Amino acid sequence: MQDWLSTILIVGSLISATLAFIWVALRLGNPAAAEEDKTDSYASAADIEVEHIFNDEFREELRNRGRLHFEKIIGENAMFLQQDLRLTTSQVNEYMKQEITKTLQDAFVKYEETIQDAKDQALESISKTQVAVEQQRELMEKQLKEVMEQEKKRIVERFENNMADIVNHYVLNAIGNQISLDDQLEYILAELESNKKDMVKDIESGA
Amino acid sequence: MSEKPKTRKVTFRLPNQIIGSVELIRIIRELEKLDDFLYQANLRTPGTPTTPPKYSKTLDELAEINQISLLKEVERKKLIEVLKKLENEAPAMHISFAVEPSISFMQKIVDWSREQLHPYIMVNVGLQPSVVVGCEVRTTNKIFDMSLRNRFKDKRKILIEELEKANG
Repeated sequence: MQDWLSTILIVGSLISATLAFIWVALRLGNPAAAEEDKTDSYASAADIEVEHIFNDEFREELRNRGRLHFEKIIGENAMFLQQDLRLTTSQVNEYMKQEITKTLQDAFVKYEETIQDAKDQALESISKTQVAVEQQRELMEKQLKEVMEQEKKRIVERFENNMADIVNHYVLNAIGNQISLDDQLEYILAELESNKKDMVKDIESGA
Repeated sequence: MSEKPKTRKVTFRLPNQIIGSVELIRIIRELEKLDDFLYQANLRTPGTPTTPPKYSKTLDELAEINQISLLKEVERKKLIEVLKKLENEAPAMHISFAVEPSISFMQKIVDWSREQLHPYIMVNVGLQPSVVVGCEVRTTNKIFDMSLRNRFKDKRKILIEELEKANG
């Protein structure tokens, strides 16, 4: 097995070397191809020089510079950002303050309006109640006066109607036993005399 | 005090002892008894003892003021007739007092009534305790309250005025 592999490698190497030789011969035998090769060689040289110029150190230098520049920019931006942030914060604070103040003022205005409305309603209600109470009081006063007047009138009428009986009763109790019919004769005759005409008229018409 | 009464031709007079219908009926009954007695006396056997009915002083007065002889049948009959007519036709008035009036008091009332109202008026007496002072007279169609109570009622205004003055 090993032999076979060694054989194949050797054969392969030989074939490769042959092919390379052929290719070089062909290249050297064609000028266009040579010019082309020259250009290619310049490009390759440029590439090589580039590789030579932009070597690792230079790249490291560039990287460092870039890092510094980036850090500087980052720092500046951070500062700007910080300033903007502070400004924004202050604006936000101011805005929040204004908004809160406005909201509170609105709330206070609404609250005051509500309080005022409630106060007005309460005052109106109290006013209405006072008016109603006043009306009720006036009505009651009027009714009371009417009742009192009626009662007074009734008592006076009753007194007046019964006054004759009261006085009569008083006279009877005071001097009733002292007055005999003989003592009343003059009074009775006077009363008969005052009613004589009517009595005569009635007697004559009814007799 | 009183007006002069109208001139009325009075041929028959009633004594003031006859106050009202009660006394008049009593007199008629008394007179009829006397008439019966005298009629029977004429019929009885002479010499038979009899007891004449007693008649009242009122009847005697009645006969005397009218100049009537009760022994004469004609006059007696006439008197009975007149009294019965008066019983049926004489005007009457009813007078009420708080207490029973005395005879003398009623005679004065009757005298006034027959002088001022009608010569043959019959005054019937009643009791009305509520009258207290004064009287209440009832004629055919009317009632006259002559009590002191009624007078107080009439003069109530004066009393009210006095009370108002007293109250200021």
